[in-house]
Amino acid sequence: MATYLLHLAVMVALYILLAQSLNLMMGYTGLLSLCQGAFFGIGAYIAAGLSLNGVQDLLVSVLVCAVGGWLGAWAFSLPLIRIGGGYFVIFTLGVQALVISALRNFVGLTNGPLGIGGIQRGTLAGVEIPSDGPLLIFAVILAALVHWLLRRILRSPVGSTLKAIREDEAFAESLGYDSVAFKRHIFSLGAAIAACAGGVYARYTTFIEPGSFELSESIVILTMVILGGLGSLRGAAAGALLLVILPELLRVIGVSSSAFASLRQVVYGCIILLCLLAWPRGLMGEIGVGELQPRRLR
Amino acid sequence: MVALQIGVNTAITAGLVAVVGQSFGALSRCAGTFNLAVGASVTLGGYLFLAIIRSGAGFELALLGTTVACVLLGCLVELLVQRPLRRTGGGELPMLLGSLAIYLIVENSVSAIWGQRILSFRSGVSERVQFVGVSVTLRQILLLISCLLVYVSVELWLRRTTVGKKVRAVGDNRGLASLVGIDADRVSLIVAGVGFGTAGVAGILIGWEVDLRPQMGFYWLLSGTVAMVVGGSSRATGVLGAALGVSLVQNLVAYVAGSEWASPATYLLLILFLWWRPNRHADRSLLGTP
Repeated sequence: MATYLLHLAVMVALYILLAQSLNLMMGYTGLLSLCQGAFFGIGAYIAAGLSLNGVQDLLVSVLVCAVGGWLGAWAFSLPLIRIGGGYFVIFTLGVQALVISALRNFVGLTNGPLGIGGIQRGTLAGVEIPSDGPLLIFAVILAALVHWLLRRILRSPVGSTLKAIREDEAFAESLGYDSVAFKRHIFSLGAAIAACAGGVYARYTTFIEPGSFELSESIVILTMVILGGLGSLRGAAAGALLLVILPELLRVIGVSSSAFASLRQVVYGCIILLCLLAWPRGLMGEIGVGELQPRRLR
Repeated sequence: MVALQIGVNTAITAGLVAVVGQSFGALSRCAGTFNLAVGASVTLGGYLFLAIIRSGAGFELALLGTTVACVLLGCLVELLVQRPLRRTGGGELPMLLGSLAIYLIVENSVSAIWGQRILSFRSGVSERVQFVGVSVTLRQILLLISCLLVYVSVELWLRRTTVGKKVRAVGDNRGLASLVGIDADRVSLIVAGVGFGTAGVAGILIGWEVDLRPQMGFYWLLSGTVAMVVGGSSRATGVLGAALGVSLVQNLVAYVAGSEWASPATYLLLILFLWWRPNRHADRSLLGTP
């Protein structure tokens, strides 16, 4: 039981990181991204590669994951200058599918669908991490640090600019703000945070495979943000907490493990619909989903 | 010979991609946003057809039952999700998210009911025909003809009938269409029915040629999206031409690098095209810009 609770606690901390990363992009900047799972995976594979090549320091590993996630997102963010609204969502779907396909197909690098095992928990300040307990503490501290950092950013003039871009991009640009540059930085920062979570996840599970980072993972993160409420750091954290714990009830009522993953996604779909139709601000959102202002399709 | 075989494979894949792209394009253009639930209808179509066939019903009944079920799904999605979201005035993102939620619910329900196993109803006419060194089954020929029939029928409906013209009018400017007396809600309902029905038929055709997997809708949705985005919906040949291009790339990549690289090539094509394609084109296309 204690192991199970510890596992839930680690996953809550990691999903808080992931939800914060998407909330920064979607809730504060209006970028609806469906590829957070891919950046989560990129971080995990970087951490696995580092571990298998002898780099065991957890802090170094997480920092390298952040840089890797940032660089990957920066490369993918170049088209942001040209696309917005629904096209951006489709673009991120393409990125998600492409990254997962790459993880499956570059067998020499990623071991393909079989995944990578034997990842070490790593060391902290030269001391080997003996169990999952210290990893939980590390994940909680990381989530708190990211929360604090985002709060500082969002309370600064940068935060106001992001909200201006979210509310009316043309108006923000008329005031002299380079909205594309801001969106690129936020997209990259969000990806870097997701990659950090991936780095810790790989060290925690000690085994990763592409199936853990598919579109369904991006949708879990999206649901957490919508349920928690857009534009609220506390909301994203609450959404993550709820959606890690609530689906476990499916296990309690005896749903078989084979159907669990599918039914969990059905529940997420229903939550998204419920929030869209009846509860647009979620638990503690600053704005509703309908208040995001993308460019028109036509 | 290899080039000819690739050409034949391309034509077959293109037919399937074109039908999915066409339904996705018609729905998206009319609604002013992308409707990802089309992918769910593709999956549902394939699985429902299989279920009805396995229950002992004949081909005609299975085809009719599946199509009607997918049309009903489209109407329900429009009435219960898209219309209320449209009325909130929140723009395209909530509607897009609503369609994503429907996609999730339907696809994962299919997965929960039928499991993750790969299923198949590839049966019937499987005799091979050899023609100038190219090998093709009678099933594939029938499949290609079916795809063309569905595609041409929907295009004729969109371009030649009064309802079709209303669909295009609503797609071009919903407010203006309402001003001149077109019932935009009713038109959206009809398009939803036709779009989901067509996608369901595409699901049957895909299942006839390729195995069924619960996640198949996503791959075909993205392939259809590439065709729709590249080809646009301004001209009848737009999506069809783009589908041929997409399928040619898939088949060439599969031949040169292996079949496992065909899907990544499609996704890369989508990313590169969205990257290169200036948003000022919006729904216009390379092939279809007047």
